Amino acid sequence: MDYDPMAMDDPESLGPVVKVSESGKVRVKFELSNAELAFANSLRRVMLAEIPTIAIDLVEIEENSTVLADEFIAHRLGLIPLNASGAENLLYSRDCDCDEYCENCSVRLTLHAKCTGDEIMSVCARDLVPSSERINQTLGSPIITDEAGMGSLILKLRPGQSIKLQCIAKKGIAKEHAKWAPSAAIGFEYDPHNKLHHIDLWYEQDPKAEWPPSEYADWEEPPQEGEPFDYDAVANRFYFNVETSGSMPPQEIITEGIKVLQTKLAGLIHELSDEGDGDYNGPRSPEFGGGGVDGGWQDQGYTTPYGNNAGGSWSGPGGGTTPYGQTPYGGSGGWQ
Amino acid sequence: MIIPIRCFSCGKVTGDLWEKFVRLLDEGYSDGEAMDKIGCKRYCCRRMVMTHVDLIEKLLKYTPTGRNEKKLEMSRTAGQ
Repeated sequence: MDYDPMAMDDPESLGPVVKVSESGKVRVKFELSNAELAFANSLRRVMLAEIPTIAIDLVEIEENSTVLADEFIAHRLGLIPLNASGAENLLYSRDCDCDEYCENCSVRLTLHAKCTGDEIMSVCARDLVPSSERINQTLGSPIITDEAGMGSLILKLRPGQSIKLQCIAKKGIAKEHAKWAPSAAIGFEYDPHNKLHHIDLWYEQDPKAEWPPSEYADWEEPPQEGEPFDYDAVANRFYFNVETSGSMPPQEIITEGIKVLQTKLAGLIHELSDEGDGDYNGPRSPEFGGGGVDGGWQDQGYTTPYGNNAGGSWSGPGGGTTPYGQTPYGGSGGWQ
Repeated sequence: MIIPIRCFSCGKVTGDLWEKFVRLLDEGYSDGEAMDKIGCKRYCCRRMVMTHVDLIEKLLKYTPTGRNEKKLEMSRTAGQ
């Protein structure tokens, strides 16, 4: 077997390295090394806000004789984590062909409870019943993690009170609403000894005595006494602590996060390369191709400030035009 | 009022922790130990259970018609 021993000795050639120090049902701790700060931070941000999951988005209340207002209950229902396994096969409601929602883009859950006894009754996440018309039989089930097996408390009923409602759970991302977040908090740390001086530690007398050492302080060499500040040093080792909210295992949050990041980067590269021309069918600025004065939507006797000059492009703005075409100010044939 | 479903700051589910927290306090654990036991590590989640005032059962005593009943009762006693 011939391999280049030099290639293996050079840590740079390996690319980013991951070292897992804890992996459980609720959290994963790992170290990402040989990576840039920007890369580590983009992974963190994607895991926080851009992994698709499902959460209750529409609530149709038929009967509510509880002491809590409809919108209060609807908000609580939205925050209940639902099982997101298989959410990648669910369509976003906005992309679906249906009018409002259907089984391809949503999961229906019902809640129907009446307190018939003499005691106060608790209605919990367990009482939410998903309908059987869903793309797989785990998607959209409420997550129950407590020992009693009840799930989150939704509301309480006095004898005689009842609640009857239908919920529509839809796919979404946490950028739109935090209820879609698969993660609770994500710990992100680097440079435990603050050698890079990215942090200006607040202190009264002595920051060393007043700040407790980080959990990862032993993992890296402490600075030598009187060591000069290295202006060229960059962060290289990042310590993550990913905690799930329940909708997917923490390991999956990381793999899904990488997948989302890859997809986003692939889209960007595709658009920047020449291959991106022609097959993009999303919304676009008028200056890309279809923005000339001959454009179908523009020849109705008026023009917009965008794409006003024929073939308006970045390369050839002439006279008083901007990259977005002629400005409406002082131009001819504008808004007057 | 009623225990929030999730921590306001980080999004950890707190809606199923209240009853266990109260049970642990009854068993003699201190606030801090009880919060550690139910898995609240960060101070944002700890404040969710520690500072919660469970008023929901008090709220259940109120009824839409309760005010009228009270008024009727008061007018009756005032007439005597």
